Amino acid sequence: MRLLIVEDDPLLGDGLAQGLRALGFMVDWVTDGEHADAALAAGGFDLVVLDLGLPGRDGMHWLARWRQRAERVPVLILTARDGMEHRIAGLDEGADDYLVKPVETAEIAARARAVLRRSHGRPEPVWRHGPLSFQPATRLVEWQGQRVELAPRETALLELLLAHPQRVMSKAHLQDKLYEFEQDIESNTLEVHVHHLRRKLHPKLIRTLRGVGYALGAEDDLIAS
Amino acid sequence: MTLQRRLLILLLLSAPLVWGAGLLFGLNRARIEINELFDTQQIRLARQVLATLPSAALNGTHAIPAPASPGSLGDSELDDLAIAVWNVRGELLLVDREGVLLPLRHGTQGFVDLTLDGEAWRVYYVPAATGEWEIAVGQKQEEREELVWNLLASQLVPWVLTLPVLLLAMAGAVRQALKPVRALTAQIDRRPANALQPLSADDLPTDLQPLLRATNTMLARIADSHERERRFIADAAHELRTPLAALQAQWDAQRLHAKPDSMAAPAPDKITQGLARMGRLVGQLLSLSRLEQAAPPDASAPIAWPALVERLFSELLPLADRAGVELECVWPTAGERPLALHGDVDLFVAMLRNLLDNALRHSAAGQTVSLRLLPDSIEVIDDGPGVDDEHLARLGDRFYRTPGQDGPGSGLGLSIASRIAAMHALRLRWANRGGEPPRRGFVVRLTQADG
Repeated sequence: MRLLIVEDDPLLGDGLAQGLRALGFMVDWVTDGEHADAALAAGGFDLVVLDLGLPGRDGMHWLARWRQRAERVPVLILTARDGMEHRIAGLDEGADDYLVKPVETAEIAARARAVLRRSHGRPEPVWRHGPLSFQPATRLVEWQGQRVELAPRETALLELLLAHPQRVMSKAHLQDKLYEFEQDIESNTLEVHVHHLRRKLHPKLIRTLRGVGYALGAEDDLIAS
Repeated sequence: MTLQRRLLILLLLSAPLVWGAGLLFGLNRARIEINELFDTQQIRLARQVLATLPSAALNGTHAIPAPASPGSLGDSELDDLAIAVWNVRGELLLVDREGVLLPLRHGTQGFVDLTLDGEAWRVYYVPAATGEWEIAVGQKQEEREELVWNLLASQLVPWVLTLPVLLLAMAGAVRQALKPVRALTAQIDRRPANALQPLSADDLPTDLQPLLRATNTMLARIADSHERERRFIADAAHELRTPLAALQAQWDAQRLHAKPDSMAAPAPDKITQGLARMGRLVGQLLSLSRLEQAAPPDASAPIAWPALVERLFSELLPLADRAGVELECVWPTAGERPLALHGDVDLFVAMLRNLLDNALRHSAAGQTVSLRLLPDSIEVIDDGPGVDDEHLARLGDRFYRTPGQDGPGSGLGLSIASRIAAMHALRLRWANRGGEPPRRGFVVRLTQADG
């Protein structure tokens, strides 16, 4: 994967370039918008890491210009501006992600990979969470490579949780999603499904946040046992 | 002393004084007028008697009889006026009941003040032009004084009766006149501590305008210097981000070159921890300076607790995971609803995130951090070691971190939370749970400011 870093601070640009190279990316680093523009025109980049506070023309200006001429390369903004209005403006202008300095190089790499996955237009065919894997297309659930049979409602619940691995979802929210058109659901049906998933897969796969709802357990907990 | 009281006291003191001075003047004038009046009367009476004497051809002493019932004449009793006529030899020709008291004074013409029989008299002497007779017409001074005092009394009574009414009217007038001052005071009183907008000058009397202008100029200067200070902090924090990011990137590059696979499970080394702490501090500084200039939150937007809690816990889950701490939310018992709050949901999330973040950082693995939504308060509770009493009071100070604390806290979390609470007319208080050591944790409680 080839990245273009647009960053005018020499120490930051140099550090990012070195770190990302060590993580397996091919990295070009330029210090202003004109050079970035020229590099993009030459083509061949999978992603741009763009600083907003550039000398001369601002990063937002270049982003707007690229999007106007239908330059589709994914752009990840890395900036010191953390105001909500800046985030919204950046994403509205066509950025694919927005990171506020300082940020660990590993996180930039992870975000870059996520942006690239999305930009290729095909969701991951297999969702993984520790030893668990799930294929949305075929509804196939595997635990450490072994197929596990689940009831349709249990699979649907698992899919909801896997779709937002960092999110806590309230019982009301999950119930709405699982039983959209049904009335008179017994209040503990959701608990029963959760109980089944824990029994069939792993006790720590789904964690209860008392008073709030459920979230996916940490991957480390699933590997440890 | 208030302006109103001072004005009232001055008015209440000076009104009777002025009135008293007026009274003295009036007394004097009345005395002069009455004297003139009665003097004229005495002269006229003397002349009339003189005019009738030649035709009377009196021999021997004639007494003028008193009328049968003098009662109807009121205060001016007849015995107050006396008359006596002598011939050239000094024999009394005509005298009334009181006239016998009057002494004959040859050669006197005009008014004489005498004391007769222990009473003060004013007597008018006049000889006939022919020199045949002498006439004296006298009047008791007492009669004149009585009239003066009666005259005064008739003025005094309405005055004394109307004085309370007048004083009340003055008090009312003072209150009314000072209304703009009170309105201005109320306007200043109502302001939040950090409101530095100019005071509005609507219908303020012109004599107060210079004061208002001076105040507004001062407010503008203070606001200006506040703004400059705030912007400096914001700019400084903002400018720190790039060098900090550069440090982070350089450090990451060093580590990755040494051990490229160490990123899979990054063990937080001391430098990474330090960088994380600085990054957090810079972020907190910026949020604090942004709060300083934030517009007042929309007080009509109700907070939907379920959605807020879901979002809050989603944001904090990674931190809780890393610390191995349980997060829980406790709802009120059936039939009760959590404290109804209105305002900016993003600010509430920021406030509770700071509080829960603090609680998580002070908890050990296996402990629980609770967000308790109660009908009259919101509490964030942990089972951590609590805070020594001597540090409790300073906990809300900016940059204050309890000694020995080496976590990535910035010392700004409580300041930010308190500021957001104040913006919503709420109050934040904190205390150890269980009082004396061994303590059983720490609690931060959010309530209505007046509750």
